[in-house]
Amino acid sequence: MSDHLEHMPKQRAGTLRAKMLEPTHPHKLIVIQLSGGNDGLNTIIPFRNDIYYQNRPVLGIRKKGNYRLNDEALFNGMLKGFKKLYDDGLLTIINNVGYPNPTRSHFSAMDIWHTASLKVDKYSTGWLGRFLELPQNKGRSIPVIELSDTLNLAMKGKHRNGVAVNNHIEFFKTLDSTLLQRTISTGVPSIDNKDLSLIYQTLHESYFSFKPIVENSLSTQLTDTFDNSEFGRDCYSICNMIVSGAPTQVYYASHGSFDTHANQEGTHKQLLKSLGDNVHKIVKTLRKYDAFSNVSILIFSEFGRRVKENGSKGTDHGTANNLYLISEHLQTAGMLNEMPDLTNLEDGDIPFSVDFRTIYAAILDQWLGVDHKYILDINLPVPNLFNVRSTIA
Amino acid sequence: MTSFRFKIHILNRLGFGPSFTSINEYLTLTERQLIQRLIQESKSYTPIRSFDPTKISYDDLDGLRGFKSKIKRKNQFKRLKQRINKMWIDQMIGSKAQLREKMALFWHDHFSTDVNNPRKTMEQLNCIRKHALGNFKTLLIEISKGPAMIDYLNNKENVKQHANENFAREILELFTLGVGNYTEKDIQEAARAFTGWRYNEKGKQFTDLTNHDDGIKTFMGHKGAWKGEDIIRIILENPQTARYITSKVYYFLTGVSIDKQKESILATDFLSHYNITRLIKKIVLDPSFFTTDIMGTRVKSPVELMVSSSRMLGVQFQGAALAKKIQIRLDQNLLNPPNVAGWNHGSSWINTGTLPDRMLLAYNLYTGKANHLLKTTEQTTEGDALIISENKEGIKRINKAGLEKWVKQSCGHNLELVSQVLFSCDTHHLGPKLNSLQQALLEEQVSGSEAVVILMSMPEYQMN
Repeated sequence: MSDHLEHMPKQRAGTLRAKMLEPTHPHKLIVIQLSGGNDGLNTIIPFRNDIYYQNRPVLGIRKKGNYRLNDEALFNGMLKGFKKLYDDGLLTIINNVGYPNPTRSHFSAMDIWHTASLKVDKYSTGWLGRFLELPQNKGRSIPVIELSDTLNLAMKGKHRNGVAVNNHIEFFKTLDSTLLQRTISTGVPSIDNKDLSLIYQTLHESYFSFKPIVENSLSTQLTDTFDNSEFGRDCYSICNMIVSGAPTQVYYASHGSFDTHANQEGTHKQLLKSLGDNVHKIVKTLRKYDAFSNVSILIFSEFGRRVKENGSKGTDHGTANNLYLISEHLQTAGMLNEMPDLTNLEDGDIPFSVDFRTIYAAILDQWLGVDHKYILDINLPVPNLFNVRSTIA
Repeated sequence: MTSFRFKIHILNRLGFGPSFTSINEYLTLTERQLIQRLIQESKSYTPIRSFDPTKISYDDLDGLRGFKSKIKRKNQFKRLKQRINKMWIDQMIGSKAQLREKMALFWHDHFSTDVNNPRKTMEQLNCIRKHALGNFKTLLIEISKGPAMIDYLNNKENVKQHANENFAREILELFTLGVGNYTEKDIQEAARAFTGWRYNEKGKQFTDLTNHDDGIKTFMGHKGAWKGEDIIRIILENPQTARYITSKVYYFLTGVSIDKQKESILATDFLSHYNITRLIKKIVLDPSFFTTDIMGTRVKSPVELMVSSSRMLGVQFQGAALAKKIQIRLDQNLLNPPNVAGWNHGSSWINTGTLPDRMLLAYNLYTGKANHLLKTTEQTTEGDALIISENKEGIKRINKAGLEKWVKQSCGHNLELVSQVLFSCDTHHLGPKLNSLQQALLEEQVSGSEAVVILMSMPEYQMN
């Protein structure tokens, strides 16, 4: 508590100073959602823990062929990318992240993570949607973008939403098609019909806010190759936009599905490989263009999986899970807190010790440079996750 | 303002818009006759039956005999649910009972439910379609007692010692009174009255007395040993229910909020009979239904856009996947509503991500490019994963020749006339664009049907 109150004034002073310094280069955040519930225990493996192997006679992962992380834990051998980031001091692993009275429903759990609220109702907005609606983002072009066909709740605000596009270049091509240009080129007519007018405006604004981004993107063809999956393509698009100087501050992509109820091993390996390789590639690519120093990456899943494997060589829905933060400005690189306590399970699941909303709060306060009190309704101490303070709000 | 525009307005709001095959006949009627005719054509009701329901039990765990693994059963459930969706879309596009299907869409949104079991889904949808123009009281009772609702809002888990308030809350907040017209205490007391609501192996509702709380409850000032049926009766006697439903139906048909005076007149009448058709008639036979702030000012929902475009172009879908893909892409996936409150309406349908796809829908259907959608895979969590491995066929047929003939023979290649069929909003601002398109048509740079598609790709077609 006291920790939190202490840094608030500093925060405000920092914000003011920064505004005069560098108004056009705010910190950027990439959020990667592991949809379906990633098996955290087979991602960061407690290889010294007998209880783990007792619960997972089939799926338990042994030391051989996997990367040593510390005395207690291994990286899954598919996570070569994470191992490299870890060795370079760019990765923080936070264990046992969750919230009180966890739900094991995908939808309810995802809603909770998206809204950063334990009570989700039909009027709920997302945490990034509320970020988007802060006064300082007013008039900014595309502050929040999701690489997807449809926008998830995290980026929905009350009056303004983030933008979801599967591929910004393809999206722009659609807008640039002859048929739509018939409408866009003639401007917004002055008419009384409110929603019709809104359609003209939305088309017009989308076209003109994406036009410079896409033109720059097209002239910045990255030679770096990501894997040929939807997630790989999204990672490419994100790098492409960042490198070409897009004004967007938050990028959101999903990877999955991690819902491995049956025959988990093969699917999970493939997903982790793609995750590690693509994320490592993002860092490598952005560093090459000298664009990584103001980017952080948050990787989360709506829940972890049951400690005990099921009878179909898979795992069922669990609760607390590990979460990953990647940045050049981490307060504590490596493993931030204790590994899951498998001796004290709650209904067969890992108890949480870190409330995920405090991690959002740290990112908002320390990285995005906005007071989390405007976005999150929590009264919890906020951990120090970054060793710099955002220079701009 | 012409009577022509009024008739297009009627076809848009009491159905899914004109189709070139039936428009000429409808235009010979007066507005009043047209309304009567649409009501008449919706009198008949045929249930959707996209599979044999007796093959599926009401028990979710044992819902489908013959499928051994849980995953196979789940996939089969999704596949069957997808077929119901497709059959309903076919009805919206092709059925003469336009008003019935239109109001079924309204009630599906109102009684927003999402359950996996296809039998429960199909029976709830048919209940909605059957009573869409009938009596609201019957509709409310049958929906509340249907296995789909008993599952979805947890009445199945509602027991004496631990009342589950989910259904009690939503029936008050969303289905009848509207938020703010009851207390938390009323919810708790109503939940007690609904304890023990179950359904038997035939899907018929009964009250399991061992789990039913038969004590005295005080619900909205009424004291008694109420059962669930009593709660519904008390709700229906409350004039606020009539006001709430009246204002929602009014908004759906007109696209604008009702004023207090009109609400009071219509609701007083509605309360005395709860006859839905009579309420609709009162709304649409009023001259205020035909004012410029109502005609062409309402944003089409994605399903309305897809169905009206298909009707206008003469599109029929083959498999179940394409129509479903379009719904997902445009963010209104029938039988899978976002939550118990249903979909948001009006300007919330306009957003950057989906607008270009909405605008190009007619073009993509006409050219067959929409079929490319079938190649994309969706990232979904288990609840709504699609079974795309089958039903891969896209558009079955599109009646280009018929459309071409209609533009030439019925409209005499006059695009002013065509645009009046397509748009019910004010179109003065389109003058120069229409002129140049007319020129292109006369010089045969575009065909008649292509000109229709170009018009349908204008923002005005997003409205009705």
